[in-house]
Amino acid sequence: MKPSTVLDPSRAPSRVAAFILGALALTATSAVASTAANTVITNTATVNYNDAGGAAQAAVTASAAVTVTLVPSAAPLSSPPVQTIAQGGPAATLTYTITGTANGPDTYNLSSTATPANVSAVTPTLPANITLGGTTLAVAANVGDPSITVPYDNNGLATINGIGIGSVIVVGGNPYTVSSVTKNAAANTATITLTGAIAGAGQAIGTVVGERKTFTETVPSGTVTSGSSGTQTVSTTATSTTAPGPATTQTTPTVITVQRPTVTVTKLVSVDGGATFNASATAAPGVVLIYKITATNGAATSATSVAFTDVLPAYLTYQVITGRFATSAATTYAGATALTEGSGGYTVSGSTVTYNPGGATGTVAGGGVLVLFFGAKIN
Amino acid sequence: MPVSILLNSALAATLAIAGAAQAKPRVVVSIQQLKEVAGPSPSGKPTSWVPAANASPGDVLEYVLHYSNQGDEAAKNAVIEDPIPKGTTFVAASGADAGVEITFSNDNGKTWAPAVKLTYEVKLPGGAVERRVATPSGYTHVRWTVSSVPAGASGQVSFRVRVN
Repeated sequence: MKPSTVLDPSRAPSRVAAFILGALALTATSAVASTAANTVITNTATVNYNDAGGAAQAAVTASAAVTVTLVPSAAPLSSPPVQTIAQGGPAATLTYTITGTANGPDTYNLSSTATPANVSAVTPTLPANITLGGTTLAVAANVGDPSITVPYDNNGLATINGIGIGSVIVVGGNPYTVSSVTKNAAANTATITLTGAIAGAGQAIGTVVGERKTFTETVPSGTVTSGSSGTQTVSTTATSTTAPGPATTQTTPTVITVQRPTVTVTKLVSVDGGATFNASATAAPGVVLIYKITATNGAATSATSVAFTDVLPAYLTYQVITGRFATSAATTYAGATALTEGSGGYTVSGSTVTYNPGGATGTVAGGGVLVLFFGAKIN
Repeated sequence: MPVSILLNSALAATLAIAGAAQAKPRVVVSIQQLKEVAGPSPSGKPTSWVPAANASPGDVLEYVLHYSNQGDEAAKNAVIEDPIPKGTTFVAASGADAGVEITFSNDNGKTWAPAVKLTYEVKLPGGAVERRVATPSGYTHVRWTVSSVPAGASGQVSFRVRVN
C-alpha cells in the first residue's frame, strides 16, 4: 500500500530533519506562520481493499479542496522626516513607504490630515489607495538562497498574489527586488527569484512575504496667520479595504514648518565717502555722510516688493545723485549701481527718501539682501 | 477472478458474463469538507459546521470520509488512507474512528503506529539519536483499517486539521 498523493516537498525526506522542523514550527506562534491567500489546499483520501478471497481491488480516491482566504493585516507606514517650506512656495512633498503584512494581496485606502498651527488650513493631496501584493513562504528560506518558494495562487497571471517582476518584497524585515516569477501549478508552488540572496537570517515556512511600495503626498504651505512661521502637522493612515479593515497611521506625525518671508533691516553710516561703514561715527558739519541701509530676507522664500523709506532727521540735507543700490551685502558704495531721483522707484521728497524698485530688484530671495546707499550732508 | 489469454472471442464473452455474475465488493468513498463557523447549530451548539469552500489561516477544517460497499460481497481489509494536506496541521486527537483501527504516520507513510506509539528520532547535539513520541502536529498521514465492510454497509471516519 502506498499513498496516492504527491509527497509533500516541505516535509523533508529525512524524518529526523522533518521533525526537527516540525518541532520548531510548533513552538512558533501560529499567527506568524500562515498559508498564502488563494492557495488551494487539496485533501485526497485513498481506499485500498480486498475482495473476500483476499485479492486486492483497484483503489478508490476522493478529494476535497479549500481555497485559503485573505486575512487582512495593517500595513505599516513610514514617518517622513520634518520639512521646512516657504509660505506661498512649492508644496511640501512627503514620501511614504508602506509594507504589506497580510497573507495575500490587498488594497489600502489612504487618507491624511494636516493639522495647522499658526497657519491656515490646507488639504494634502495623495493617492486614493494603494495595492500591495502578498504571500507567504511555502518552503523555509535560508541565508544565501537566490529565490523563495511560495504557494501557487491558482491563476495564470504573470504575478503571484500581486507580486511581479520589479516588485520590492520584504522577507524577514529585509527588502528584495523580484527579478522573475515562475509558477508551478503541478507542485502547487511558485518560485520568486530575487536580485539579491536572502540575507540576515533564515525564515520559516509561513513567514509573510509582503510587497513594499512608496507613494508621495503633497502638502501646500497655507498662509502664516501670525509670527514668522507656522506648522502643518501631517498624519497619514492606510486602511485595508478588506473587512474588518485594519488600519495603520504613521507612528510619528510629520511636522512641516511654514516660514513667512522675514526681512530685517540694518543701517550703517560712513564718514569717509563710503569706504568704511559703522553703526555710529563722529563727523564735523559740512561732511557728507553715506548711509548704507541693508534689507535682509531671513526666510527661506522670496520677499517681494521690498521698499525703503527713510526720513532724514534734522540737521541733515539730502545730496543729489548719491543714491545707489546693490543686491549683495559685500558690494561697496563705489561698486554699487547708481540711482536717479525720480526714476526706478527712487524718489526724494523733502527729507523723505523712498526706494521702491518693484519687479526683480524689489524681490529679495530667501537669504538675499537689497542695499540702498545715499548721501546727506551735516548742516 | 483470474483471466488468462483468450483466443476465442465467443469464449471471452461467455467468461465475461460469468465474471459479471461473480460476487465482488465495490467500495466507494467521498469526502465532505466542513468548517466551524459562528452561529448556532441545529442542535443548539454555539457554533456549527458547514461545508467549506474556503478557509483562513487558523481555521479548523473537518474532513468527513464516507465509505460504503456498493458491491455484493464483503470488502476485506479496507484501508482508508489520507495524507494531511500541505498547508495544514493535524489537530490532536481529532481522528474519529467509529470503532475502526486508526494509525498515524509521521514519515510520509513509511511507518504507521497508533497515536501514542508513534515516535520520531532526534539527533541530539552530542550526536546521539533519541526517540521521542511524535506530536500530532507532526503527523503526515492518517489511516483507518476496516477489517470487513459487508456488502451494502457503510461508515464514516473523520479528522480535523488547522490551516497554517
